[in-house]
Amino acid sequence: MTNSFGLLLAIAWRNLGRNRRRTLIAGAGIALGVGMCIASFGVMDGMSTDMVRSITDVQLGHIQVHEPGFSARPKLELAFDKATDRTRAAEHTRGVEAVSPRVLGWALASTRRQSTGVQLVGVDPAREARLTKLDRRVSKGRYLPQAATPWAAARKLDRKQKKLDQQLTQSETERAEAEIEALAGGGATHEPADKLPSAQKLRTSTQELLQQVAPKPDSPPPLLLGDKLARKLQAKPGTRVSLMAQNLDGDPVNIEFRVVGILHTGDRALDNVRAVGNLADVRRLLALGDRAHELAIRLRDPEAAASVAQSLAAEPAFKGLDVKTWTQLRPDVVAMVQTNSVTTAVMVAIIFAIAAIGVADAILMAVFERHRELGMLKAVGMRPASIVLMVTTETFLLGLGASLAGLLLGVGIDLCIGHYGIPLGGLSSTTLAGATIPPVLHATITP
Amino acid sequence: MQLVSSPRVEKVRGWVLAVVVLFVALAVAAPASAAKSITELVHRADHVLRGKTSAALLTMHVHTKSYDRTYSMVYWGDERSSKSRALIKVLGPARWRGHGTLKIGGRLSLYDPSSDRVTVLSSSMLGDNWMGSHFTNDDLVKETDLAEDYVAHMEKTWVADADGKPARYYRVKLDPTPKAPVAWNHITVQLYEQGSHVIPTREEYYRRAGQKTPTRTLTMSDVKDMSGRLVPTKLVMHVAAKPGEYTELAYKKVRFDVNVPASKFTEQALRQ
Repeated sequence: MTNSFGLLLAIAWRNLGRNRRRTLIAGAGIALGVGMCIASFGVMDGMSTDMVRSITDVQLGHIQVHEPGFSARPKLELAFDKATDRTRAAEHTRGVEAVSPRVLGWALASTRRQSTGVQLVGVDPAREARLTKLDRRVSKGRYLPQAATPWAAARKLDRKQKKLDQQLTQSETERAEAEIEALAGGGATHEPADKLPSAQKLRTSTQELLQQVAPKPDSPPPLLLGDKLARKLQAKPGTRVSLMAQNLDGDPVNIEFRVVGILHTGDRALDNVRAVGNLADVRRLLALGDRAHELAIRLRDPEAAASVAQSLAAEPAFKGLDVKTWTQLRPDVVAMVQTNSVTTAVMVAIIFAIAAIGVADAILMAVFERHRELGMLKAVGMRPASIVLMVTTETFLLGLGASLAGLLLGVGIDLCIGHYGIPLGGLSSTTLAGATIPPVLHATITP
Repeated sequence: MQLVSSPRVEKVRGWVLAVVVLFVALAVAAPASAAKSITELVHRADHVLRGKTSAALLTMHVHTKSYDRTYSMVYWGDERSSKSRALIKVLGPARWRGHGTLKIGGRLSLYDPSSDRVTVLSSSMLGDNWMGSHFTNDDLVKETDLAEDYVAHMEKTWVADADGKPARYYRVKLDPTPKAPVAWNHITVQLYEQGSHVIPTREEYYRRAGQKTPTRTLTMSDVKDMSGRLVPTKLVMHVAAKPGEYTELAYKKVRFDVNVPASKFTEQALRQ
């Protein structure tokens, strides 16, 4: 039996070689089908990976830690304390590659010409660079310097200064009262102007007191702007931008920053609204102390997100905080990736069906063509079952060889696309629900 | 055409006149007219601290969980033109001295002397609180008129003493008219009428229908004579979402019909 099967195999192999053109055409059909299936799997998989990366690598990280309620409704007061210790604790957790503490607030940014609302983000420059490579997204100018801007600490007024302040308020009140009376047509009212301090003296005294209770930084702190935001504000590196916000104490604050660099991440939402400053400076501005709103955590192995998140949540340092993986934070992106793979599977099934029908057709035609040959084989005593087995073996051999060729073709195409990418013509990067499809498609190969 | 009326026509006219007079009398006596006068009461209560023009010296005390703060301020207001205008300057303490808020119609500009910059508020910042108080920027900008944008229904009326003298109290429910640009589902206003004076004592703002506790409550007390008008001089705002916190406005001086020059409502005056 083994012997006869070996003979059959030899005959089948020879049969394939007899009509090379026929074999090549049928084989090319299979190879092309398999190759294209692999290529399209690769491209779609690459798109999903790119989309996920655009979420995790540009901003999110793989795990984030927040005060409960913050991710649903971000608020300035929903910040957790002891951010420095907690950052270290996360950094010492197994599987964690980088951790970046962030503070997030809203501010009104204005230049001499324009003003607009911005999302103000404070980051530790070195840590953020390790997490999101933010330093490489600077398209113009420089990245943030590591050192915080020198900024005197606020001190309370002493008793004498308090008294002076009250006197100044009193004299301002009297001045305003005199103005009201004069305009109300009270006629000749007492004119206390001469015994009131001059406007100049008032201003300088107020300035001195103010510098003590709410000091300004020694120099304008550095700031990075998203490129679209910079265009809106007509700002470039070197431009002064004043940020007006309400700090944690409810005080309106207004501090001038200096633009040092322009960011381009490709994520439209980020490039449109984000202004990034030094963690220490933004904390000072918003009176946040050692608080942070967010710890973004990058893992060595993104697949381990769920298990690392679990072990983080179990640590005492993160008790009472929300530890979430990117799949929990962005279920929309996960759904998009799933839709993508289902779409690909359907597409591949269709390609496969077409290829299969093509191959069946080619084999069937070949069998009809070999009508006389097969008749002769029967005449010399071959059993019909053996003939079926022979044709099947031929087809199998053809399929095997062609599939291998197709595999090589597909992998080759994927490697090419992965390396060079398919430019999507004039399309710039498209942002779908926060996930960015880059303008170049890159394929990836996963086992 | 007919220049001389015949006696008969005269007689008919007399009848018509009598009927009309009767109707008017009935109408005045009928509850329908009471509704009208309630609207008028609401109008007067709403305008108790607003003149065509006014100026005031006041302090604002903000009490929150994290801070206590008192500002001294001067207010200038002008409602003579269709766009109401107001300028508020902080007189002290030093941390806020010189800060100003200028309102021209729906436009709000803030001035910070330490950066010497005027910021025109974008609509996204209208919901933020004003100077750390429990009032929002929107409270300053909105041009709603309780008597015009709401339909008043009387809920309750009683007689009680106010400042040692008897007064008629009213509790009025205000439902917004269909076209009114307001954020509230309804408002209840409590006010009293005493002689020729109408004084509001309490305004409750409800976000939803059927809500038990009001979202915000403004209470008014300490009625004093301010240049010839009786006005409440203490206004306290409570916000349900922040229990225990409040913002209190205390008027030290209010002058009505002050000849405020138009130059008061300019960016230059704001910077001064």
